[in-house]
Amino acid sequence: MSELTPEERWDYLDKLVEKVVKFEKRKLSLKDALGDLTIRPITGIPIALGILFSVWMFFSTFAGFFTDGFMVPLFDEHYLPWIQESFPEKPSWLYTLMVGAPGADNCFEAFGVLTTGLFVPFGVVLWAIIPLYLSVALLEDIGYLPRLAVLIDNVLHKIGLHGFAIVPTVLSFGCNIPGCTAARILETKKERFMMMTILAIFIPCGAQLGIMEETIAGEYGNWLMFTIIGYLLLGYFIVGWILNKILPGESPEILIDIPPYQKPTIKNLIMKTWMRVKCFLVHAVPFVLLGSLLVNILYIVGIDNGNLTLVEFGESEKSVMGRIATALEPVLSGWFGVPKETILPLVTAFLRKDLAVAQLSTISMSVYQLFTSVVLISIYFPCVATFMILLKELGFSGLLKSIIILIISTFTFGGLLHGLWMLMGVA
Amino acid sequence: MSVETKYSLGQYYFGILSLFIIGFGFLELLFFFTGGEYCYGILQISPAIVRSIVIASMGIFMLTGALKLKSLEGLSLVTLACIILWIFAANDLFEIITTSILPEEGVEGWFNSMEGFLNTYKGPYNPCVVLLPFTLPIFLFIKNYKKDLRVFKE
Repeated sequence: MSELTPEERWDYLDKLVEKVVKFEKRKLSLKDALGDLTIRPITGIPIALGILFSVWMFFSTFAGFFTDGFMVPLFDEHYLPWIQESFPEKPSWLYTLMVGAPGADNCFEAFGVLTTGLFVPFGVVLWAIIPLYLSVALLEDIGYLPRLAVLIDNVLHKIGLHGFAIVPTVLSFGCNIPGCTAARILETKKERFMMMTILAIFIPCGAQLGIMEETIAGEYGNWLMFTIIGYLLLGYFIVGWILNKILPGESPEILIDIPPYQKPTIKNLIMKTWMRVKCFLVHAVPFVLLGSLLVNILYIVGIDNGNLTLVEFGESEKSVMGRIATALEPVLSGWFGVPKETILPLVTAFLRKDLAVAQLSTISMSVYQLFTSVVLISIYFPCVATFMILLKELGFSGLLKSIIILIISTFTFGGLLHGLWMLMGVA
Repeated sequence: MSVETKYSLGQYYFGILSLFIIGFGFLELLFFFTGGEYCYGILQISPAIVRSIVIASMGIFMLTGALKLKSLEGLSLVTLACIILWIFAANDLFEIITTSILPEEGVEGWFNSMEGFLNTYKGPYNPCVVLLPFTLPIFLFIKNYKKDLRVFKE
């Protein structure tokens, strides 16, 4: 072979192919025809919308059933009174750190490592990630996921990502944690950094969307909720596009082998879901607990004349967290044009964004201020669980860069809204 | 029944069904903008945006497919529309099942009473659940489609 010229080699190869490859006219089956329809944009886009909406519906029903139906009563009515009663040394700083507020009647407001710290991962997040992981495993097994990636590839290429970025994005609409961990499927460091940053900033989680639907859409109509989501998605694409332009690194093309549609196997689905849930339990839960501990420390430690002191419960305004809140008040009313009372939901949002949105609905403000406040809650900071996952996935320097982008985005998108309301004469 | 008659009847059947699906989709969309909902017997049409767009699109796909049901392309369009409607119906039924298990708001206890459990299944239901049995005849066409469609090619 080495003595042959390139032309002779090609001739040789042609003859070889003629001998060993048999060409037949391809007979389309119904499965093939269905496969083609899910890739063609005119039919594929409504189908993708339908499937993604169904995943979201399944997620909300499943998570609502287990969290509201079983976990909230279990934690609030049984576990919390038990731990409040049996934890030794109360009142003490250790009690405040581990159990939280002595009189709390629910695990969310308790703010302790053993109360809120356990409730968030095991009472809330776990029941959100199971349906999401199960849905992704099902879509993978059927063979729909590669088709979805092909369908959406063109759009996501505009912001330096490729079609498979749709997976973390969809997962994030359920919960940002599986979304951020799913960003590992992207090839380059640049893509993973971009993906996690724009997810953490702009994609509201399922719990937040659910509360938005109940409080905001219930009072002002669906249009407000969808306009807010539209604004956040606009931010997702704009910031993604800018990051793609300024960040060094590669965004390679994808080559996907599209498998035929096939029946999923239950064993496969269970195994894949379990592997991913196990990964969450082993790798993410310790980070969430650590996050709760850090937040708690910020709540119980105060600064008095330059010295660190322990703050009594109920005097949180003297704590480090309280000081941060007070310092931010002028920014809230000056730059963003929202009432200063919004600080409480913004602090709450660090633990749970859904409850922060619910708290917003109790503050007296105009519909425009409400719009800005909900956008701020969504983008100003990821919740503690996501924050810790970002730290784990991106490392300290990556997280720091991500936070800088987040701060710039918050001031830009929040300030833009305030400017718009001023132009309209409604601010 | 000959294959020709079966497919001609199928065209009329899925054509008419698709008009209902489009209608339900547009009504859900209309209620989304105007507010309110429609309830008649076991059928309830509630405001929705994403859902309504998808349902109306599936209705259009089914209508397009019904017009050329005697080809693989037409059959696949009708099948696809049915599959998406089944997925929506399955989600609605899953929601009904979970609601039936939990006690009503404000009522103590872990599970619903037997009466409350059964009451949940009285309805009303979303259009996809009501439409579900009407989409099942597609199986008659999927079953022997290779053999059937050969008739129209000859």
